[in-house]
Amino acid sequence: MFDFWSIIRRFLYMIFVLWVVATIIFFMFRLMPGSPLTAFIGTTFTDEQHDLLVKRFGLDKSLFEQYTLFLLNTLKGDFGLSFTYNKPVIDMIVEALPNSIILTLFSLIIAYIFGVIAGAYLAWKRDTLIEGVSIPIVLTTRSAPEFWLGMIALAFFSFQLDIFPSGGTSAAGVIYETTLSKLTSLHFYYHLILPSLVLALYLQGLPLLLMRSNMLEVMQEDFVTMSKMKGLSSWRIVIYHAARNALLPVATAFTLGVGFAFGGNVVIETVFSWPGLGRLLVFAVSSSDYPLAQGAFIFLTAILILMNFLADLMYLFLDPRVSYKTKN
Amino acid sequence: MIRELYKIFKENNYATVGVGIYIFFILIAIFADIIATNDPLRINFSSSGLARNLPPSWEYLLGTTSNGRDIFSQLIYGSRNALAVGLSAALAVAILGTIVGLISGFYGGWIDNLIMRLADIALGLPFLPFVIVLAAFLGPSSWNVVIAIGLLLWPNAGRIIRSQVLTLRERGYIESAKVSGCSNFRIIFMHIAPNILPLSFLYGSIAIGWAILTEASVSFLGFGPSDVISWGYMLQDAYSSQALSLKAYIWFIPPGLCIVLMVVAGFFISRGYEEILFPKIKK
Amino acid sequence: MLQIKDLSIHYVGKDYVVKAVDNVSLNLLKGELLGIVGESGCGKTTLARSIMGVNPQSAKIASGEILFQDNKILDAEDKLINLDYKWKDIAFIPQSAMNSLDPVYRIIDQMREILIIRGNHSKKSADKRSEELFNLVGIEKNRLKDFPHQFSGGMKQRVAIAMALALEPKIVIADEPVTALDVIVQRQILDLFNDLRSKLNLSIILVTHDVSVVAYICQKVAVMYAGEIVETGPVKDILERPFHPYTMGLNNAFPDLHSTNDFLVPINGTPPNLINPPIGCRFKSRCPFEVSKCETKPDRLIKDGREVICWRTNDQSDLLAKSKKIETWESQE
Repeated sequence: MFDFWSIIRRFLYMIFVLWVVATIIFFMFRLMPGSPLTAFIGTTFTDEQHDLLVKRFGLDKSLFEQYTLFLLNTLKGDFGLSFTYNKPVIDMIVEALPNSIILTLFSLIIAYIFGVIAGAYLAWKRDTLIEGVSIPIVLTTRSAPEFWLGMIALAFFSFQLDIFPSGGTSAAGVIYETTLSKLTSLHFYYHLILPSLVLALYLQGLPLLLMRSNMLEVMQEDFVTMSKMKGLSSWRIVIYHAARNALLPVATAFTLGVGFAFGGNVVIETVFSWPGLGRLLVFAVSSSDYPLAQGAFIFLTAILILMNFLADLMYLFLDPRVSYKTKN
Repeated sequence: MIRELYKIFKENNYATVGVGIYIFFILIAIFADIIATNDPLRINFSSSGLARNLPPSWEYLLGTTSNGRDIFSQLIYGSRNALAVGLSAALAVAILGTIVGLISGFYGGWIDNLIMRLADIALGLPFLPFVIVLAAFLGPSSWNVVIAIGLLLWPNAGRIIRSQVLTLRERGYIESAKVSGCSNFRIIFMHIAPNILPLSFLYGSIAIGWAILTEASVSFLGFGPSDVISWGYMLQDAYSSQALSLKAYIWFIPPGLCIVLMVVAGFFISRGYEEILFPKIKK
Repeated sequence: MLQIKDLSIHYVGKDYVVKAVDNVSLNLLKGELLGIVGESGCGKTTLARSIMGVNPQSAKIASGEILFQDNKILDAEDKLINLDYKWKDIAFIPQSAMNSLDPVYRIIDQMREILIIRGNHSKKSADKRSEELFNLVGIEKNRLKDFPHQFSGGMKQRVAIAMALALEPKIVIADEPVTALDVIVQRQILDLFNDLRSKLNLSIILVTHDVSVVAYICQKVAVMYAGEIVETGPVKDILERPFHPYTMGLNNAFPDLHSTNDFLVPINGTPPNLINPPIGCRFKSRCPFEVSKCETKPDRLIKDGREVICWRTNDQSDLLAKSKKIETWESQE
């Protein structure tokens, strides 16, 4: 009945993709021309320091050995020490991760709730003035660079009107004791409002257009006509039957959106000085902090692949045509 | 009255507006030398020293940057970069995606499998971070954006084209072409490709938007070239020069607007196209 | 039971009007199985759907009315009067090719939906009724828990029938119920229809383009062409002694294992454009027996208890004999 094998198959495939991608990252960070590592090593160090560094990064070992070491370390969560801070990279990532997660989830949830409702509404209002005006507006929000929207929001709401803080997760001088205290402080969420609203504004275009187009399609389906013939109320037909069917791809898109947003948040985090994973990566790359850059990149990739996998699973669960096999 | 306006807009069709916008920017790019009032990179001086953060005037239509550069001219010249990057990326995605889709869909079998796995891997790499890393390694250049887009975004076009090919492959006329001895090559190019090209166009026009947005993001983050004026560069310049706290809207709003226009044009064109390709059942 | 009086339905477009159904009148008596037969595009589906009140917004009722048990349910004001009859009194069985069941809900949930919301059932009594219905149509009751896609074509059609009968309607309209099914299954479903009709004293309207289906189970037949009913009558009469030339041609065009004709002859030409229907008889351009009088619209005649619109009903036996010859039809362009 319920297809467990396909779940396992997909899971194994995810592991495979993770491995291939990790390998690509390995080669990318080591062998590409201009790699920070080679750049770092090649700067004016004495021969002794040079040899020391080479040993430290295992560059004297064979490529294969380096590779295996890399894989093992990655699995252990050991990404080395940051050049700039001399702290374990993993610690820095773990510190930044909740910020990214909260920002992403907050923005996506707002965007999707709004998008789904607005999309269904616009489908209802087909061929009206409202639709004619709304669609270009929505397309415009999807066309605007997120960071530009962020800049406008900052300039207006923060600097001009002084309603919202201009960045960071806390005011200058305020430090959160623990992650938990951070996540439960109103201060934190006050700082979260502007970046997440801007991000939501950018993101809502997709669920909106998707929901609208799905609804339009579904409303043409035979079973919707049949529902009308059965004398069911419009409410029931639109929400219970049409929307439920139209939501399938949207749910999948949401999960995919999480993975995508994580990488894309880089710019929002920069504009609002939001200390998340994306901002960490940018910092690492611009200061040639290769272990930090590599670690952050691996994490971002892993999250993306994990989300792709979950999206795949989600479809499996939500669409009975996929999860239940045909009989007779 | 409003209703009439709306009807005109609808009649005119998204594609027309989109094309109109493109033509507008292409013209600006071509005639940039004539339209721009100053050299975009030149640092200007006024009687009182560096002409920094000046408000709009006849000499500097949109004012100046914190470095004394003419914003308006930068805006004009920025169109060249936008078009160059946008079109190259669009070509890259369209060509790669089409070739991949054609081969994968037509030959099937292990080639198809291999390509689909590659697609999964390409989709497994986070886009913007990848571009950043690439830019950091290969040096700041607009072409990094094009390369990255080519490397990572072909699956989107490729998959759709592939499924189209799969549908077409089963059609009768392909069968008869095979039976009458047509070589595979011929079949692909003469029979299938013409039906696929509209889709390639579609993805190409969307890719222009992606490319411009990405280039802007990369420049904004500081990984773009500093000797080429692009709208993304202008935004980065504005941001790091505290234009926000200075409320110098005139500096950072126009470049963003230009980006929006270019990207929206791509969406409009692809929408108009879609209506021709896949006409929806109208009630 | 059901009366359709001079019903006209027009599809209104931007600068055109399609007269899909033109002045159609029909009567369905209790316990009767009426077939509406005609080629694609003749308006039969529009007609069927208008009874259920689900034509698209662009379809307007230009004139006429529909009455159920002498109560108006639809009229030209385009106001659907008293929607309660839907499914409770008149139900619908869709085309077998249609995707008529919501793919994300189990059958039992979809049954409960009708029975609880539109009927007066509790969850328990609804489930009991669902089992009864499945029994009636010949499906094992444990299949109730399945999703629509888990059924084969013929089974799905049985499910549709079960669903249609849920609220014990007096009339069931079936729109091409067996078209997409293979011949053996077709026969099973049609037998089921007959069975249900006698068991439950149902009145059925069967819409189809397939004359052999009509021949198999209908008692009364209405032949539809280009938006009009050209002939009605008992099935035997329609098949053996038709009045209208179109009906004669239709009979020829379908294979019948028992007939003595050993040829299949299509009627040359295509149905007229319904945006600008021809003046006079709509069939005249394809009719081998056209005369000058056909330029004016034939009156509706009632002859031998049957209705027909044709000027040449008096020549019936002569025309009938001619219609059985291949040359008559082949010479007509």
